Amino acid sequence: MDQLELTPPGAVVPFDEMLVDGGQPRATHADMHQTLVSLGAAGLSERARQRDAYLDRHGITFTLGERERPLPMDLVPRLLTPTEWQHIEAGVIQRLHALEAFLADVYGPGHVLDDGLIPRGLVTTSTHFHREAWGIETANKVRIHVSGIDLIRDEAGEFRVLEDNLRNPSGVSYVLENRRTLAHVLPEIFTHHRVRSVNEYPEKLLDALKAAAPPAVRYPTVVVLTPGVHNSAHYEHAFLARHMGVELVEGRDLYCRDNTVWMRTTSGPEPVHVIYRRIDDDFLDPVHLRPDSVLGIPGVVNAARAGRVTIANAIGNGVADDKAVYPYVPALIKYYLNEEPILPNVDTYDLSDPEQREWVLGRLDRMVVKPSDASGGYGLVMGPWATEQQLENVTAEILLNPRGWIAQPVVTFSTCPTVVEEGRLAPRHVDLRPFAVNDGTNVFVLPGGLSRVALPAGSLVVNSSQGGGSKDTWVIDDGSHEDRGPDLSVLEPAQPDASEPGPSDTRALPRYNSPTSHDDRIVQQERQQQQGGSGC
Amino acid sequence: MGRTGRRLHITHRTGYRYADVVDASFNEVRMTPLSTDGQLLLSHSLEVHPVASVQTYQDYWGAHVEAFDVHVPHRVLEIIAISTVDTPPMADLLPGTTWDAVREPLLQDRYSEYLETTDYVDNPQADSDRAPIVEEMVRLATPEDAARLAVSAVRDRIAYTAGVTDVSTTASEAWASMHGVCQDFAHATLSLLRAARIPARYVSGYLHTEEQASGLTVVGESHAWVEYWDGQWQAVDPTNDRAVGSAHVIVARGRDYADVPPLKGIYAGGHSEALGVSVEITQL
Repeated sequence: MDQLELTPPGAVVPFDEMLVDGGQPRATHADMHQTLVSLGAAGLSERARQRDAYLDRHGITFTLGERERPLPMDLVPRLLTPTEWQHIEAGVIQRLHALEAFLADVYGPGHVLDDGLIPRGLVTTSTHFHREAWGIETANKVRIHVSGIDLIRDEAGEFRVLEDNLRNPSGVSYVLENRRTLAHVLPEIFTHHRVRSVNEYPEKLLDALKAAAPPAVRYPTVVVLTPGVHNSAHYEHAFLARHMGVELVEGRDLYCRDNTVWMRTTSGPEPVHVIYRRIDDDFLDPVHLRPDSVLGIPGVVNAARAGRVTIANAIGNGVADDKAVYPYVPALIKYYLNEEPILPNVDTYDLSDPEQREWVLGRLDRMVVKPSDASGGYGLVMGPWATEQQLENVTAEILLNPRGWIAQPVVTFSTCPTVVEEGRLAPRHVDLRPFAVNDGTNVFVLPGGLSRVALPAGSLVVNSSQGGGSKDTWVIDDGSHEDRGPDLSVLEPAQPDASEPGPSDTRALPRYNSPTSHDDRIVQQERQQQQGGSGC
Repeated sequence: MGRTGRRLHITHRTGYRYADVVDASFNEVRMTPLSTDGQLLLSHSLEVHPVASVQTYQDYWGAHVEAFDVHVPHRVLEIIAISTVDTPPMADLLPGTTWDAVREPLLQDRYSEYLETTDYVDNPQADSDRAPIVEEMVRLATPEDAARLAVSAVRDRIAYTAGVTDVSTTASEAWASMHGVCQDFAHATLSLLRAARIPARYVSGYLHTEEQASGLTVVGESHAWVEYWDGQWQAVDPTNDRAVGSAHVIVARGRDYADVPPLKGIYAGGHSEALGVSVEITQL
C-alpha cells in the first residue's frame, strides 16, 4: 500500500502553523509569508540548490542505513510566538522536574511504588530499569542532564507530549546547523523578525556537565564518549565536543583504575570527571551490563557509585521514558509537584491491561502501536496505513508480550508549509523536540528546538531515522531577552576534514601503557556454581 | 536440632589460575552474611591476592557487595572471605495464609519480581512434565501444601549429583537431566512456585552441615535454597528437605542465581582455570 495516496483517517483538518482557513497567513507569520511568496517557486528552487551545496560543503550529514546523506533541512522556518514558547518552556521544565523526582525515587526509596501510584511490576519490567543504577547519586542530584521531549500540536492547536526522551536524545546539532544554514541561504527571511539565538547551547551544556562533577573537583575534565564513527549521530558527538572544547573519546581511550577514570593522552593519563556519554546503557560497563561490550569502560559504574565520576545522562533513565510509563506522567506531576500538568499527554492505551488490549485489537487499523522500550520510531505501526499482514504480525507480537507495546489513537500533527518538488509549497506534518539542559539549579530550554517534518505528503512519521527532515525553528523575541535577531556570524563553519580535537583522529594518541589492554578479549571470570547439599 | 542458635566462623576461598598473565581484572564479591531475621553478622573481612583496595556497597537486593579491581600483572587470583555470624534458633513455624491472600493483586504487584520468569527460572507450564504438577499445586487447599508438593516433586525428579550441571544450567535443563546441585534444586522449585503465582526468591548462603561440638572445622559449601511468600517469607531447602534454621547462613536474596553470584568479574586475557572453591565452617 502506498501511504502517499492516503489522507489521514476521518479526514481531520490539521492545525496549520502558518495559514488559517482560506490560505491567509496568521498575523505573526505575515512577513515570512510575504518573503516566501515574493521568492516564488523558481526562487525557492534556486535556494534549495544553494542549501544542498552548502550542506554538502560543510559535511552536515546524517547516516541512515549504510549511507551518509545531507540533513534534509526545509527552507521554510517554523515560528513560535513568545506566548507559545513560554507555555512550552514551562511545560517542559515542569515535566522534567517530575521525571527527575521519579528517577530519584525508583533508584532510591521507591515511595511512588509503595504508594501504588504506578504498578511496581510496570517499572521493574521496563527494559531500561537498571538495578545496577540503584543507589548511585550524582553530586547535584541530576540524572536527566539533557532531554528532548517530543511535542506535537493537535487539531485544536494544543501542544501535547508525544514521548519523553531522557536517554540520549539526538538532533541538537541540527538546531544550530539549521539556523546557520538558513541564515546563509535565505537571509532575507530573517529581516522583519527578532529570533532568539540558539548558539549558547554548547556553553550551557558544558556548564551543566561541569556542575554535575564530583564535588571535590575544582576544574572538572569533561569528555564526550561516542560509540564511534559508524554511529548515526557521530556527526553530532563530534560537533558537541568541538563546540564545548572538550575531547571526543571512545571507550578504548578511557580506563578505570581504583574508581578513577583516566583518559590516555600524549602527555600521559589525565583524570576524567564527567562523561557525557552518547552510548547506550547496555554498553557502558562490561562488569555490570553487557559483558561482551567493547564500547564502554570496565569499572565505570562503580566509579560513578563511588562518586568519583559523573555519567551523563545517568544510567537507567530509560525507565522514565518507557512508553508504558508515559501514561502515568501526568499523575507523577501531581504526585511529586502537586501541580496540574501544563502540557497534556496524548491518549494512550496500556496493552498489558486485558480490557484495553481487547478494545485496541478490535480497532488496530485506526491506532498507532509502538514498542514501549524503543525510540526513534523503530517498530512503530501506523494502523491506517499498515497492510493486513503487518496488522496480523503486530497483533501476534502484542499477544505474546503485551507489556512490550502501547497504542495511541492516530493524532493528526499540525502542518507547516514546506518546499516540495519544483519549489512548490505544500503542508507537511511537523513535531517539535525542545532540548533542555539541567544544571541542578536551572533547567535551560533551548529556544526553539528541532522541528521534524514528515516529507512524504500525508505522512505522520517525522523521525530522522525514518527519513524525516527538519526545519529551523524560531522563537520570536518579545524584547525580554538579551539576544537579538539572527546572528549571521554565529558559529565557525564546521570543517570536517580539518583537524578536530579528539584522541580518535589527529592527535592519534599513542596507546598509553594501561592496565586494560583492549587488544585482549574481555573474559568473564568463571562463576562458581552453588553446589552445597551433598553431605547434608 | 536447632533449639539454640550457633556462632559460626566461615572461611570461603576462591582461586583462579590464568594461562597468560592478566594485567587487570574487575570483580564483585557477594559473600558477606546479612544481618537479617535474627541472623547477626559479627565480623567480616575480605583478602585479595594480589592486593587490591575494596569498595563496598549495598545493591538493589540488599546484598553487601565488595568490589575490587586488580591492576598488578598476575597469573593467580585468590579471594578469601572470612565471616563470623550468629544464627538464630529455629523459629516455631508460623501458620501459612490462604490462596486469596497470596493472589491479592496488590501483593502480586509488590512481589512481581519474585513471580517473573528469568533466564534460570523458566515457565514450567510450557513443559508436559511439569505443567501437571503446577495444576495439582493450585488445586491444593493452601499455598503451604502447594509449596510442599513443589519441593517433593523436585526431589523426586532430581538426584543430587555434582558435575552434571553447571553454573548456567536452567530449571528446565536440570529437570530434563534429572541430576543437579543445590542451585538447580532451588531454580526448579522457584519455577513451580512462581507458576502457581506464589512469590518465591532464591537465597544464597552457607550451610553448616554438622551438629558437632564447638571448635571442629567442617567442610561446607556455598549453598542455595528458596523462600516463598505465605503470609510471611517461609524458607525451604529443597536440596536437603530439612527445615531452614540455625545451620543456614543467609548471604543474599534475589530472583535467581544471576542476582546473587558469590563472585563475578571480567578480565582481559585468555583461558583461566578455576582453582576451586572451598568453604570451611567452624562452630565457635
